[in-house]
Amino acid sequence: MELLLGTFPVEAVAFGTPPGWTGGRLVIDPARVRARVLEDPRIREVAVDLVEPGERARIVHVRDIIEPRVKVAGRGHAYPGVCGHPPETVGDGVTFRYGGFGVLIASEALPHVRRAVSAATDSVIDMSGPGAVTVYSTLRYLVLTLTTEPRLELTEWNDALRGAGHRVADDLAAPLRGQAAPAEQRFGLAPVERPLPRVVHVHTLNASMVPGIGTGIYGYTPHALPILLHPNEILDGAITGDAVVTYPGKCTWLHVNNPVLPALYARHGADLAWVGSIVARTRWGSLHDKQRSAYQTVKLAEMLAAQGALVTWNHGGNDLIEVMLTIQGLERAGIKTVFLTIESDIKVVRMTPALAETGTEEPPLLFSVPEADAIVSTGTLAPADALPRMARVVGGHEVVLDQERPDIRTPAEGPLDLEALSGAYSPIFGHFDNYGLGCQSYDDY
Amino acid sequence: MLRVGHYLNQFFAGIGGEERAHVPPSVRDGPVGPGRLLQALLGDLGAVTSTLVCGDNFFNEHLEDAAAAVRAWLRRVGPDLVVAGPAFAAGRYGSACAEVCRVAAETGVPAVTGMHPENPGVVMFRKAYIVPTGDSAADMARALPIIVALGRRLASGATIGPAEREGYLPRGVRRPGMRERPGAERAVAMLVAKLSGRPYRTELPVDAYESVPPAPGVRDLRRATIGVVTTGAIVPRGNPDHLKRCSETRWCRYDLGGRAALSPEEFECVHGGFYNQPACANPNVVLPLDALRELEREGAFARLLDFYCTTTGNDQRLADCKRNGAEIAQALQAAGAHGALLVAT
Repeated sequence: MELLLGTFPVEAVAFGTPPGWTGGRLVIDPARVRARVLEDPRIREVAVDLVEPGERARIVHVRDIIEPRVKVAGRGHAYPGVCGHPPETVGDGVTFRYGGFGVLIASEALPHVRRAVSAATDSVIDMSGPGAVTVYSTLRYLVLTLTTEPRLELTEWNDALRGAGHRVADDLAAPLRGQAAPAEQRFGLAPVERPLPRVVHVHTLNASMVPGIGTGIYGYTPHALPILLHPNEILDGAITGDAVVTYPGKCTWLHVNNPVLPALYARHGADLAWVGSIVARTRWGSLHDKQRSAYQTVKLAEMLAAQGALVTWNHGGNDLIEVMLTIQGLERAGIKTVFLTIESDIKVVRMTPALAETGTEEPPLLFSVPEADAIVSTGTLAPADALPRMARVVGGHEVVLDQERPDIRTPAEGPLDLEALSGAYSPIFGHFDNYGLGCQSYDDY
Repeated sequence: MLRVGHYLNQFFAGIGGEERAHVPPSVRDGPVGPGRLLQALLGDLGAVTSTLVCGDNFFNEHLEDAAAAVRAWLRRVGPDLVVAGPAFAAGRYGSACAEVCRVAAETGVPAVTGMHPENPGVVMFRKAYIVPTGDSAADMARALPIIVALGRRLASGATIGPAEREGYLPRGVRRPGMRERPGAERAVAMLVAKLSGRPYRTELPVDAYESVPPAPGVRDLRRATIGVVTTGAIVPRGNPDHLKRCSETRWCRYDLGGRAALSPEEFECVHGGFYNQPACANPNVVLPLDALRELEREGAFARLLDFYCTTTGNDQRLADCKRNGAEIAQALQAAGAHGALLVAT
């Protein structure tokens, strides 16, 4: 399986006609975008906006971000298995993508969705200032602010929002076909010529507790036993997020830009032989389920004759139990592990350094095993300062920061004193760096 | 000029070995034993003005008396810095040094010690600044300059950096900081090092978890009053106290009012760590009042308290968990409970 990824960097975006990409400048026809969105009668209204990094702008009600891509050679469709794309296996051939650009779906959670799905929180992306802490503050966006029929059932709502995002992303990427990509990268797990330690990426992924939504593999979201993926499948969009939960580590953009994949590729054939990514679902409902998933993951790693495993996860809370059981099983099977993790779970949402502190009195991890003796911490991205008033707000006018008080609505332009306003989850979209894009970590004192 | 108070055991003070380990605390003016090297390292910048000496057995067997002696010594001498030991691998000496650091910290005097990382004294007072040493006094000449350098920084009120950079053992405190390479690259590099047998250092050492011993069983369940508690966030419909779906700091108490079961018209589940809609449709699956009433009728136990306690056991900070647990236990005890059913989620 060999994938050639052609990147078209987006250095400027403007509304206009005809649409297309030339020399780093992307032109988008807003009327065409609106028409593509409104093909779905479940969507009543759409506003389209362009947002740039460094702007005094805040995007609210962020539901997902999609990097527009098109497969120009090889089987399948980018982001297979969702929104009508066929579930055919991807990862082979040629795929073109826009670099540094995303289609952003914004929509306020419907009241019944807010009530039923605890992670369907309101989220913000600040494009400058102290809140601009995540990778999402560095991208250029076409923001689709969507108003749906108010009574849509949860999975219908997800389907409508996500469908609109993917229709527009597909439409924006289509003109790249036939152009020459300014930058190209080739990805393949070529057989290694000298004996090198065999390494597997154990890519644990939360499966939603809520039926019908969540991060999917080829669009398949339910809890299931582990599956072996070629990393190229992931680079080609085999893992996608939904348009409901705002938890870090679920965004569609992130999964095709997961820095763990290029970091492992960079050492393949030099220091290690990468044998693939085992995707194991997390947040099972019972201990037996957690154990079964961990044991089967270990068994697959053994059958692959892995000697080392890089273990990642993308969620929080009790998912860590099956992740740690997996690490324990791997080490007991003689497979050396490194675990890449956020620190202090989701508790560091209050934005003060004092509360960011962890240690013996406030364990940084909810659960651990003694075998987890090699851990890389990506710390927290929680900013210390309140978010200032922004000159421009896109995606909505008000936000609810305490999920238990949907009646208390805060003007989205701010200022937002998150420490005072936030009940639980941080409203900063992607506020944890699950896969180690940045250099932030924790130190012992 | 830095006024330094030095703590030594009977052996390093030259009083004697194991046979003199019972000697009570005594104070000497100026430096004693390794205090002379300490004085030489301080040079013109400081003076070892007083040395407190105590036998290792005395210190460990009469901890309160020893601590009182340290307190009195600190009050009288008024040092700007306390240096304890170093203790190397000597366990009782290490414990005494850690305790001296604790008393100094309580009275606001900067303190530093040195010992082997596996010395039991390391866990006696986790907040102590401990410079890692070898297992014997052969390491004195190497370790003492590091202890003095850290001690001078502590005494000057300078901001102390991470343990790895400043050369002390981690004190059970972790704070955000930046590293040189992105996390993904560090993870792959660490794996390559681990696979090739090269040294690597975890960025997140995992502590062993505290185990909670189970309470003794209820002696005679048939005569017992039972309370029911859940971390599953079952609340009266409308969530009158706005119990949070995660990161809750409080617990709530609600009346059962003699009900035979919880109805979805009157109660709901607001827990955010699991899909709570089935528990909203039938709150008894989390707070099993229906089953408890049946057992009460059958005489399995004497009486069910007519209220319940609940919190949201989802990403609650450990400090809050401990306080909530203690407060709930108190409330049940005050109501005359002999036992409790805790439904965890």
